[in-house]
Amino acid sequence: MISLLISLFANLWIYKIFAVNFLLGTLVLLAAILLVKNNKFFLLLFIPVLFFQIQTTNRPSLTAISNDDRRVIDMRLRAYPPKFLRLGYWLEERKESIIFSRVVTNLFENIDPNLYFFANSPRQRVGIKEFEKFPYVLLPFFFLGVYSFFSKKDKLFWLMSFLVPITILSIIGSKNSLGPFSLFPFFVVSINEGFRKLQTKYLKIFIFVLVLVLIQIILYEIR
Amino acid sequence: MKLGKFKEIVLLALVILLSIFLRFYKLGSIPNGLYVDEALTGYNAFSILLTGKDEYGKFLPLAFRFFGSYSPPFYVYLTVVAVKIFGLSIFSTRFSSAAFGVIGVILVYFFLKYSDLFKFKYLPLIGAFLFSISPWAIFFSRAGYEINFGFIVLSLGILFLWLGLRKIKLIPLAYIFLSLSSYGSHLNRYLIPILAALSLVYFKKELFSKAAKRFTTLGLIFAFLIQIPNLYLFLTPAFNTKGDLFYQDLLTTQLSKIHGLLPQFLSYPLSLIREFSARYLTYFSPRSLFLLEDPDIQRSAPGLSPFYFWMVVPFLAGLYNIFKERKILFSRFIIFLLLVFPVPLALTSEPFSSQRGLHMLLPLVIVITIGMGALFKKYGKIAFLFFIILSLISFIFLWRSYFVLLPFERAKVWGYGFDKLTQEIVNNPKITYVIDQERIKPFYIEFAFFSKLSPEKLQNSVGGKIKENYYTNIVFNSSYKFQNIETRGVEWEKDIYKEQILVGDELTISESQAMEHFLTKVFEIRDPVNEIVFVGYKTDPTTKCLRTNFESIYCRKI
Repeated sequence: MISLLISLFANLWIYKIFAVNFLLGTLVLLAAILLVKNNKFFLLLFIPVLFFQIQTTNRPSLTAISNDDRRVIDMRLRAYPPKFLRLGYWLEERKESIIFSRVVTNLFENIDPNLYFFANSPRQRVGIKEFEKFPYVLLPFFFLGVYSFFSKKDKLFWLMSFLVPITILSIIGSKNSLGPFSLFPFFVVSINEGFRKLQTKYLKIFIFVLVLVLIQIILYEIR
Repeated sequence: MKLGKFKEIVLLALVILLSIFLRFYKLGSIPNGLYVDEALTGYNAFSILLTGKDEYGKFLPLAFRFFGSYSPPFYVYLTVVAVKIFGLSIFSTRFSSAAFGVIGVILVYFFLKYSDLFKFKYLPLIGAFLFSISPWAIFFSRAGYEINFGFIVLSLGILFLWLGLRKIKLIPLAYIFLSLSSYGSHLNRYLIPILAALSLVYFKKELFSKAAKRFTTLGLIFAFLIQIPNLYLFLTPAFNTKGDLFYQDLLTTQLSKIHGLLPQFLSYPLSLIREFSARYLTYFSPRSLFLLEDPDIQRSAPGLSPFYFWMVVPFLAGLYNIFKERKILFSRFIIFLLLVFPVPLALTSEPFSSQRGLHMLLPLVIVITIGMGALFKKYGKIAFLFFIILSLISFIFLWRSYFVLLPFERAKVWGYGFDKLTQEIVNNPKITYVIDQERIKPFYIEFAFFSKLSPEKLQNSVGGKIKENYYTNIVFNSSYKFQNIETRGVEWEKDIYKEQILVGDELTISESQAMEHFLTKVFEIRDPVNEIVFVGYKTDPTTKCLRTNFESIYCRKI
């Protein structure tokens, strides 16, 4: 129980979501709880969360070329030897290449643990206000939880809670003031699992440290 | 010899040939230019070869003063051999680094050959192949300064440490090579003591068993003896020239945010732990390893991350399998490397340094290879087919980024144009050239390199002061005066009244300044993108004085 409470509420993310949209916050929270219980009704709540993610994310085009992109493409095409210019065109200018490159960028931005536990520090993105979604002391529990789930046989919902949002986020990007919140249930269930696995006898000390870290990241956020 | 063994040798030979090609093809012209660190290495090797002394006249230094950084010396001494054979050139400066890059491929092969994690026959070959095509490995193998050499000597120590855990007689070699590697690159100076000490704790059972104890002790004694020159340096400011890389300012900023609510004795460790952990984690971050270039554009090719994007899958599979088999000695060994290697990196302010963190390449390639092995085991031929297709695609990406775009886009940051500027100056020995040093990297060493300047001339230009206090006089001054050049900032109140050519970049002299001071553009050097790298303006003191009614005191001489 304590592990669930910690993974659900000992983070800034859920409060940010609630502050912006109470309905979304409720949906995300309930979806996370049902995922922890491995309840199939999780999907019923998860679909609207995904819908919210798509609707509230500022989706830049996967194919549009800005003036600066154009300048870079033209400059790069000049670098190719004449006999490889056609290949250069494929690599630099073809829509397929541009889409592929943007999808890969979106994918890697969203699977980066630093994004969730360190506000993307030390490699913050330009033009995006980063925030610490989970306190960094929960990171080892998250990794342990992911490892534990991978070793399990019954992991369909857990896999879905990661793969479906990550696929969507790879296409739509993550320009959303709340971040990739459709992954919140995945993080909660993984941290919860890790916490359960690592039944610590130093729980009181851990909670004390967690409170300190929460104070630290809240102060970083507001000051 | 069995056919299987023969096949393995042939495949290994092909991988080595591939790595030779990727490291030596157009080595003298890609990267396009000569980076100042390379110029320092090459010229000092040349100077040692001819005089036994470095550019300051110091006889066989323990660390080279290089702009006040006191670089570990081995690579320069190694380059002496290449300079002797090939003459002073960009190729000879990069040669040893590239050659050690090929040795790295063989090391990875043997490392995996003696692993006990997977009994998959071709795993060592896959590891050697992945290392040979890794953008990270290729990039620094082709850079003519010490970083790759330091990494390979360290890897040799790591290989012997691994072999020594299985065959105790090899333990002394492990500590000898580890100790030697601290003379290979800056980071190793800090990493090696941490690594050696922690290895003794982590592998206590293996290294201090009854049979192994004396070999471990012997290795440590040798390691200590090898460290005597470093211990001497440790007592001087020359040892810790990279101490300013720690992020104290950042911690102070963070502390100011927590100040008031948490006491100092809690807030400082909290800030430090957060920063340390964030930086530590970034060396495992898929975004840093498989997507982004190095934050410093000199240290990567356009659009190329340390590994190819698809390697994230075997990377995650590898981490999973290593952790799953964590009781096996090889897994324990890799986990040890993964845990210890990022420690000094996480104490530096750079968000991610592929140069400083080059040693991470070894355990990460092993992890990716283990992951590849696991995928082959699980998905058989389909995984192999994907591996082949994705490897071929990787070659296209490598060719595009490294061999097409890098020499074009990054020429300027790699010191393009210094050779042309040197030629201009050498062709006009009677004209004085003032090279502005506001933004241009120290020119004196590039000039010395490309003009093959007699080492005595350069040594005499700095006088004896630095030589006498070589390891304590760490402040570098890029102002030089020899032959017909002066390297310093432009002094506008004086320089326009002397007959000379002022050389700067595109920002040094504006058009309005040129008009105001009657300067005439005499040459400009552009990079392949057609951006100005250097521009030279000839002064006209007579006209300047005439038009300003000889106002300046510097007009009196005219």
